[in-house]
Amino acid sequence: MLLMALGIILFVVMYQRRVIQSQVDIERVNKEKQAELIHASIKSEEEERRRIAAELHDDIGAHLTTVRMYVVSAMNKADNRETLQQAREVLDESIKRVRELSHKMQPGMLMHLGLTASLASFAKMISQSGNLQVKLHAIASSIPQINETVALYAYRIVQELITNIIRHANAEKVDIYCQVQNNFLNIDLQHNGKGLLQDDFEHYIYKPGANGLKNIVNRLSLLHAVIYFNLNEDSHLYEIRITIPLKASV
Amino acid sequence: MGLILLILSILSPLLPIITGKHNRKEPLWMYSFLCFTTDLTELVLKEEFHFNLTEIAHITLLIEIVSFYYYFYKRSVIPTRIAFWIITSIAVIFYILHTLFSISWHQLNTGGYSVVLMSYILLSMLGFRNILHNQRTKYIGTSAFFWGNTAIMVYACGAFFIFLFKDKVYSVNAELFGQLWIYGYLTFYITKNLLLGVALAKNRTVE
Repeated sequence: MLLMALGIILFVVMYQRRVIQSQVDIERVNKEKQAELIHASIKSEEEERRRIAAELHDDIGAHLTTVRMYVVSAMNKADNRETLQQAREVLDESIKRVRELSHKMQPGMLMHLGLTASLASFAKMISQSGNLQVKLHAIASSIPQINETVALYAYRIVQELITNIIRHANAEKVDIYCQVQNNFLNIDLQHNGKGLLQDDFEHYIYKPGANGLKNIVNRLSLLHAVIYFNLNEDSHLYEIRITIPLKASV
Repeated sequence: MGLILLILSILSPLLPIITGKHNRKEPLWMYSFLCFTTDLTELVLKEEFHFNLTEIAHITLLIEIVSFYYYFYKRSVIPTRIAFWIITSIAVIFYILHTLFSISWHQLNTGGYSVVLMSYILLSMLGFRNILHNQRTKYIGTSAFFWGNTAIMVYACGAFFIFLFKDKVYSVNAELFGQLWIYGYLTFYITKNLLLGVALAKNRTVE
């Protein structure tokens, strides 16, 4: 009878262990599959952007440049120079916007010159547009060459955050700080607009339509990175800190 | 050795009393407290006043039945309040009637208690079934109910045949029965209390 009792107890312990182990395995597989799906989705989005950027630059950009050449040539001969002058100005503006759009969709510098250079170029582009003054505080030499996908995702996160600041925060300036410390890439954004706190961020990501924030969350999860929103009471600046482990494989 | 086991058996209920002192409403704590006080009382009354303590043993057993059944009811092994009252009433009435009409109130009803022990075994098996079915805890060692259930099952399985064949063994060889009682029953009794101590210690976080 006692042996039966011990047998039952042993069976319960072993069975429970097996069930829990299989539950843990299923959870792990589900998480991996989810991460794979997000990665595939982002990858296809990036490929599409790359394709559109290339078409914008090579196709439409080239056509507009050709049209500009014709307009300049016509200006040298025609009487109606004023109209042609205006046409040329509009064309210049269109070419500039196509270039900017192409650059936003696929930052060419990222692959060749790295994250810091791309962020600096992006900051310059935004500042020149007049919407917002963006300044990057980073020494390129102090940031090692990082994985291309990590760099791209980090760039996209910063890009999305700046876009949101332009749209919603009414800020006048943004400072971006970029540094590597203890194998972590820390990117800090500080702005003087009306920003989000951590609770607000965690509330908004579940709202329908908050696709930008959801994209940020997806990229963060693939990077095993964390984001933190805060208001600095001393400087009255809203701060966003992104911490990305550099050893994480994407 | 026998004396050591006897002393340990009297002191062993102290472990669940101490580990479960934050949760005195728990049926297992009340049962352990009852065991300790009756064991001490029996020792004093028997040694000092030479009282026949069978009546106390009967009352202790009846309270044990109610305590264990209530424990199983609290853990949803006995699903409803009505079922608890019906099962408990049947067990208590059976034991009382069997004692009064088959044995005597002045003698230990080992046969009747064997049947009660069988019910403990069945309820414990249902308890283990519930543990596997509900899958509430990730690590079974952290489950207070697992330890409580194990305590009751080990005790009931160990003591079942001792009580069932007590009369036969005693009539053949009283000394052998004495050995069986000391080394068998007391060991299971002490083991039960140790495991109840673990159960009450784990019970601090409510399941």
